[in-house]
Amino acid sequence: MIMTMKELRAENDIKRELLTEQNEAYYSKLLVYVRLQFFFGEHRAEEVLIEMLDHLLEGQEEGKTAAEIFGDNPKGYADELIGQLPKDGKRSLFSFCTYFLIYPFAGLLMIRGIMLLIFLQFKAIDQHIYLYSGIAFSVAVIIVYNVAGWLSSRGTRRSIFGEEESIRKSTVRGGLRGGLLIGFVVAVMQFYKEQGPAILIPWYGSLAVGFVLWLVSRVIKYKAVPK
Amino acid sequence: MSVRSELLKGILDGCVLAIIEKETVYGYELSKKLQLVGLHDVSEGTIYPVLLRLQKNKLIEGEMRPSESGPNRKYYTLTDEGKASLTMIRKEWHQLAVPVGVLLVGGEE
Repeated sequence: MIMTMKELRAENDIKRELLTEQNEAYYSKLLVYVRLQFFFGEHRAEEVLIEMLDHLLEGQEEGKTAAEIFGDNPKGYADELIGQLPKDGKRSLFSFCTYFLIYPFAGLLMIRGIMLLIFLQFKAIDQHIYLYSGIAFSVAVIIVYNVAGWLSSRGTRRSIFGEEESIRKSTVRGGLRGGLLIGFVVAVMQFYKEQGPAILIPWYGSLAVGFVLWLVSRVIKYKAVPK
Repeated sequence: MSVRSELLKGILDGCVLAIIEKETVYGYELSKKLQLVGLHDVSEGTIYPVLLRLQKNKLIEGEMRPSESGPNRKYYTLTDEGKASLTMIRKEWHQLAVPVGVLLVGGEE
């Protein structure tokens, strides 16, 4: 019997409820930390997470704590687990990369379509796109989307095991990074202003193409995850 | 880390393979069996990175199925490669155990 990722995660959610508060806190940190690694076998990871949860539940019955079972160094232990996970195959890595290219692009097109639809209710807007400017802008948005995603997941991973810094410091840094990323997009827009042939892409075209690409990205994501 | 646990670390893969060879087990059972034979130094959680490594190296295979008590457990069995690897570990262990025994135990007298 092979359980899908979804089934494994659902079972994990139910069983986690049975943990004591202290054990739940320990286990959940491990769980989030292991799940936030991207390039390794997600399915194998979910399996081992549920095995450990079962183990912890049985140990709990005997009065053991999570720290007694998995050790006093949860981060070191989690890194050891991650180090032994299989690397996903090339195909899945390819799908993974394609997904992170297509998904933000689809979002961009759909947002453009919806924004145009709204603003067109109030006034006439030129719906042309300058080809090269459009490409440059899209590439910039895709880069920024992925860098921001990577930074935020790295931040979460670091904060899990108490390496948290003061809220003020992290807010300032987050703001600076956000400003830099937005600045990058604005700079690209300025640099590639009105370049290339103008193409008419009406709001419904944007929305439709964006929606189709979004569906494609869903399929890729679904296929990339071993079941 | 004590000398004993350092020594054990090197041979733990072999011990886990030997238990799985005898019968298919799931994680919790495996840790119980290690404790039962007297390997109390193996903290229970240690086996999960070991099980992942053995799976990655295709020495064992896991299969989810309902346990005797009801809920699903992942049961492990040896692959052919695992059997071959265990045979080799046994051979190497014998080659080490005898001379080391002669040196260390003999040195006590």
